[in-house]
Parts: sequence; C-alpha cells; structure tokens
Amino acid sequence: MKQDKPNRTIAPEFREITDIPFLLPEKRELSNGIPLYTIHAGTEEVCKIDFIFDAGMWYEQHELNALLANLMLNEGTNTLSASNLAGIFDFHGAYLQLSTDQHHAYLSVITLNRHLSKIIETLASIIHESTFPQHEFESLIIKKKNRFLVEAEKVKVISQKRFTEVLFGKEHPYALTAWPNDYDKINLDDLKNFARTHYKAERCRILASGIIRPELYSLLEKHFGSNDWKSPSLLPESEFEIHPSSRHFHLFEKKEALQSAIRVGCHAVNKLHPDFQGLLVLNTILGGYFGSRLMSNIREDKGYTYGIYSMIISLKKAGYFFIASEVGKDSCQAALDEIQFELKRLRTEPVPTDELNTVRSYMLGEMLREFDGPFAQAASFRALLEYDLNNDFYTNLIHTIKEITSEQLMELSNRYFKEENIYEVVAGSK
Amino acid sequence: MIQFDKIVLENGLKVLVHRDTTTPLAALNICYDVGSRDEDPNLTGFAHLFEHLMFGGSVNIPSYDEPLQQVGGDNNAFTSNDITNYYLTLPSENIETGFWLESDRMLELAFSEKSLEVQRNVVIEEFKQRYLNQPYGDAWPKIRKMAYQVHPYSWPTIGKDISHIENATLYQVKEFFYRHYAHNNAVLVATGNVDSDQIFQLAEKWFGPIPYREVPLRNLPQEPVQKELRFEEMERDVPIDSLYMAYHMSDRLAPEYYTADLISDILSNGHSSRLYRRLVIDKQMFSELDAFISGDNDPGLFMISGKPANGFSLDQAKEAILNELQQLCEEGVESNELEKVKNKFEATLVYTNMSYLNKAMGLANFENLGDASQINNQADRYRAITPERIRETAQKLFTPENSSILYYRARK
Repeated sequence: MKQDKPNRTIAPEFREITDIPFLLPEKRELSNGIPLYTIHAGTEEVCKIDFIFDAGMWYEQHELNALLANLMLNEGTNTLSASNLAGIFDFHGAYLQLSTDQHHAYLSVITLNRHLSKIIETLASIIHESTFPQHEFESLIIKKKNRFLVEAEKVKVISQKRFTEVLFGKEHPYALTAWPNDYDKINLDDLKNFARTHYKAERCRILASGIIRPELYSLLEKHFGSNDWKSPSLLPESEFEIHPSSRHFHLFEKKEALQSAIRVGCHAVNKLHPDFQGLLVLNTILGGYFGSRLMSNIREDKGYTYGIYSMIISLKKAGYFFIASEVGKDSCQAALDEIQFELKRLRTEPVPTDELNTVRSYMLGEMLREFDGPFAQAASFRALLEYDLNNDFYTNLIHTIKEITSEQLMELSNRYFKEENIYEVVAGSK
Repeated sequence: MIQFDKIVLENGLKVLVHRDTTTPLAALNICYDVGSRDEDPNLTGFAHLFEHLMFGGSVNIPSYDEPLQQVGGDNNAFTSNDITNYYLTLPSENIETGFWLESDRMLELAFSEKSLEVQRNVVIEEFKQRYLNQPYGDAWPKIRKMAYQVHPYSWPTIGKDISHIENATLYQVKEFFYRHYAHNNAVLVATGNVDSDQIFQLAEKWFGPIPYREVPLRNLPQEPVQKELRFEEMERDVPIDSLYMAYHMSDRLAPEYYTADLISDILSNGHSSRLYRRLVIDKQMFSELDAFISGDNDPGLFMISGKPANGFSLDQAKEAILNELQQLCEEGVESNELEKVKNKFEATLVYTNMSYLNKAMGLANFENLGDASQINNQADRYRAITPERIRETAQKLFTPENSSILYYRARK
C-alpha cells in the first residue's frame, strides 16, 4: 500500500477536545452515617478502596504525631501481629498504602476482587483494634528518623520546608517544620491517644473505585457500619493564624552544595475561591507544562536547570503558589532574576492568543488523562471531597479553560503575583 | 492476555497495535534499540544526551512539544543501559499528529549548535541533581564500575564523567544519530482507542518513505567470569553509613532471570519479606534494606543495599545479610513463601496492565527483546519456578567470588 509522500511541513488535521467524560460517583451511607462513594468502571476485577479520616497534621498536638499514628495502625492488632498483617497483604497481592496530609490520614488499598473479603476484614482489624506495640514502634522510629536524616540533607527538601515556614509561620500546621530530631521526642501513648480519638466513624469517609461488586457494600457495612466506633463527643476544630515572614528573601546556606534549590511564591486561594480555576490556567502558562514560560526560558533557552515548574496548592483553609527548581549555584541569581522577569511579564503583557490556545488544548488533554480509568477518576473526585465540592468544579474548570481571556489572566497576575507579595527561599548558596 | 497485531514495514520498522476501548486516549511508544551500552567508552552519556536533543525540533518541524500540546498530547522519554524509549499520549482521534512528529524526528533532527549547547547544560545540571548533589548519588555508579571491568554496563546512563558531556560536538551527535536512529533499529507500538488498520496505514504513510539506514551489529565485550571478591570503601559527607553489594546474574532472556527476580522479592518485596522482617524490624539492624535486580538485557546484577542503624557497623550489617543469603542457599524457601511472591507478581501484573501506556511500553520492550508475545507468558514463567530452582539459583549467585561489596562511610 504505497502512498504519496506525506507533506511533513503541515500538521495533520486534529479535533479540539470538547468534553471530558467523567462519571458521577454514586453516594450512599453506611448505617452509622459514614458516606461511601463508589465509581464503578474498568475491565479488570480490581478494586481500590480509600478510607479517609480527618486525622491529619491539623489535629496533632505534637510534631509528626498524625503521620506516625497512621503508620502504627498497621503494626499489630488484637488478633494479628505486624508480621501477620504484612503476610496477608503480600500473600493476596494487595497493596496497602498509609499516608497523611495537612487535614487527612488515608488507608488506601488496592486488591483483586476475589480477595475482597479477606482484605476488608484485615482492614477492619487495623482500624478498630490496633495495639501500637513497643518493639514495632522503635523499629518505625529508627527507620523514619534515618530516612529523614538523609532527606534533610537535600537542598530541595530544605527549601520546600523552609518555604512553608516563611509563608505560614512556624506555629501553623501548614508549615512543614518537623526535623529529624523531632523523632526523639515521640511518645507512643500520644500516638495511641491520637489514633483512638481521630480514627472514628464520624471522621471517616470511604471511596471505592474499579469494578464494584455487590458484596463490597455488605462487607463494608458489616465491618464499618456499626455505631460502636462513633466518638462519645465531637472534638473541637482548632483554628490557627497565619504569620508570614516579614522578610521576603531567605537564604539557608549549604556551602558544599553544587546546586541551590529555589522556591519562589506567594499566598493565593483554594478551590473554593472563584479565582482558583483561572489561577490554574495562569499557572500552566507560567510553569505547569513542558512548554511553559519558565521551562522555555530557564531550561530550554538558558540551560540553568534540569527542570523548573510551578504549582497552585489548594488546602482546606488556605492556598498558595510556588515555583521550584534546582539550579547550578553559579546560575542561582540569574535564575531568580528570570523568574521575576517572567512574573512581571505576566503582570504587564497580555498572553498571546496562540500561546493561550496551546495551553487550553494542553489542559483539556491533561484533564482527559486525569479522568482516564476508575482510579484516576477516584483521585480527581477525592481531591474535591474536603471542600464539599462536586464534579461541577470540573465542569466549570473546563469552561474556564475554554473561555478565559488574556485580559482576565493579566488581572489575576496583578491580583496575586504582585512583586511585594512574592517570597524567595534559597537552600544552598548564592 | 494482551492481544496485539503486528506488521513489519519494508524498511524494517516493526509496528504493533493493541486496542483498548476503555479509554478515549491513545499512546504511541517508540523504542530505539540503543542505550548507554552502545557508547564509545570515551563518549559516555551520549545516548541520554541524545534523548534530550530529540526534543529540540526536527528537520521539518521546529518544535516537537508545541504541536503535540496543541492537540492535547503529552510526552516523555527515558534512556537506560539498553534502550532509549519515547512515548506520548493524546486523544486517540488526534493520533496522526503523533505519527507526524515521531516520523520527522526519525527522518532527521534539526541539529543546531544552540540546541546542543543548551541541552549539554541541562544534562550537566541533571547530572548534578541526580548524582553529584544527592547524598549517596555516586554509590551505584561506583559499584557498577567494580562489578563490570570490560562490559559497558560499567558506566551509568548519565555518563562516566561530566567532561564527556561538556565536550560533546555536533559532529559526534550527528554520527550517533545516523548510526542508531533508524527504522530497522526501532519498534513502534500504538495502544488505546485505536484500530490496527488505521495505525498500519499511518505507519506506512509517515514512516514508510524514510530510507533504510545501515545499523552496525552490536558487538560488545562480554564480561569475563569474576573470580574473586571485590571490596572497596569510600567516605563522603552523608549522615549515615551505607552498604552496597552486587552479584553477577544472567541476561534478560535466561530462565535464571525470573528466578533471580523472585529471589529478590522473597528477600525484600513487601513488609513480609525476609530481610525487612528479620533485619529491619526484628533485629532493628537496618533503617533501610533492599534487594533488587538491575533488569538489564545483557548479564545484569543482583543488588542489595542497606543502611545499618542502632550502632551496628558495616561489618555486622554485611554479615547479617550474608547470613540470610546463606540460609536461603542451604534451606531454600517454604512453599507458602514462594506462593506469596508469585501471587504478588501476578496481581501486580494485573494492576500494571490496566494502563494502556504501560501496555505500550511492555509490548515495545518485549518486541525489542525479540518477541512481543512473550509479554503474555510472563506469569507462567514465574509460576513454573520451584523451590529447588530458587535454591540452585541462590547457590550459584551468592558466592563470595561473584560479589562486589562497597562500604560507603559517613565522614565523621
């Protein structure tokens, strides 16, 4: 089937992305009121279940307690030792992932449906009757502390932590202020108490995705639906004040480092604010994809770095924006100058139509990827749960991506990326 | 079971298609049979530097990324010791854009001094970011060098020395391109919401007219059998000591490969694995301990790395690991333990193959190894492994004369 030579100088025709097929999760409640969201999709007999607890750093009295309480859940229960637990998950090819963020703690499991019953029963034991044994606690502390000692050497990690401290103030839970020595101060009883008060039915939501078998509902009801694990009383919700640093430039010296890690950014808004979606577009233009202005300028034109990117972070009670990169120490100031130059350009010049159209297409493609397959859909939905937002958020985002104008983007730049709002943090040398 | 169709174009390009209609997207993956093992020992890091240059525009298309982003696509690439793999994903109806871009850069790159100069700097910064400016970043390159004395696996993909990148010339870059970037040295795989006939037509249209290029046959020096234990120490500004061990193992296609892989799972995959359970948790001797295989196409390495904790010395740490290996050689595994790692492998395979992109990469990799259909009998390969084979393989692998050991000490 020989054909004429193709014309390589003209791009093939293509179709614009018009809509993103996403499923609305089905919502129901267990008898004790725990919301259960399910996304039924996919072709493999596989299911992922997230247990989401209001048990993140926001609620801890002492540094690292939320994180360690979460990890200790899986270190032994009334009926199963740590070794038994590990054996059950491994033998059935199931993966249990424990994680914590600012407001939540997660137990996420992925399993073949044929082992659903065993896995859910095991999860119930972990969540309801964890024993927090001393020996496993010691092993965990050794492990985590040593890992952290290594991490804390990395300029990237130093800049990341210091940046949140500069933005929020040391006392705020959004400041990542833990350092390796904090592991020496951990008290096992504190962890136990934290788990006993925070891993409760009222603080729990469940999200399941994949091929959802009917028995999933009965298994979850059986193991998690009773009133036995409700709290006797609701915990008060703490509030914290934000105390940003008065200085806008911070250098954390590490003289022997070959590269310096840069974080530049400012306060912004979270997903609940009407500006948020426009900021996502603005962020993409600046540093949210390979063709972004920061990548084009600082990597692809100047070669100062292997990578540079920017992000808008939405947290339940605040939002912020940052640019991050690791650059050769001799290029550090030049890179900072170029970053300021790009921010200024956004404030003073409208984004050209071609560039904006590329970003629109790229972002819609990215959304297709973010909603591709049951687990991706679940992750996208999970990202809205804490705000009590639903998929309208994404419908509106699609609209914003398609319709936002260069003028609106320039307005946003002037509202958020003002020079006097910007903080610069450098770890390494300059 | 991953169903696929395959044709070979006249110029030698192998084209494979796997249809997955659960996604509105498609992936296009091109695997070139060239990696850092194909480099001149005095021009190391070239395959990887070249991967960067592949994004600097091609003969008819000034920018690779922009047209792809305009149709909602995204892309990336990686270089290993064995291959250079490029992949992109996009809405399936726009897949022709992928063919247009990929075929043009196979046809000819827009070689420019500016692009070379910038990418040299970018790669030098990558070298720093991944290796030189990372705690323990120079440990694996070091132990590779100890284990391989003649085979080009002795240097890492990023290169032996930063000066090789710094001194790369446009002439060398061009030569590398014409020697390795050719149809007859590549596998093209499309997966996702695509149709075989459509893909074959597009392949013919865009890749068919590119002329055949002579690709020299690979003729690499093979590593002689190691006859005695190799041991070295080094000292760096890191917070804690670390231990690295490497044992020579088989190539990718030998039956021993699968057995060695399962042995690494028995030792360290998951919290129920032997090394983790016994040495990290029970004895609290290590804060980290891993065993894994390098996964190379030519004879590779079985690697173990660990960080001793709680005041245990590197000697004690090493002895504890050797003791575990010894036990495996003498007593083998229990059937339940073997069953566990096989189950885990199979489940992981199911999870992995839920992604159309993973399937594209997997097919390309196996086709590059000689036969894409091998992707479908991996589970059987692992299933067939017996406790006897585990023990025999362990006995063959874990001998002192087959080992390289590196003590990486924290400067006091």
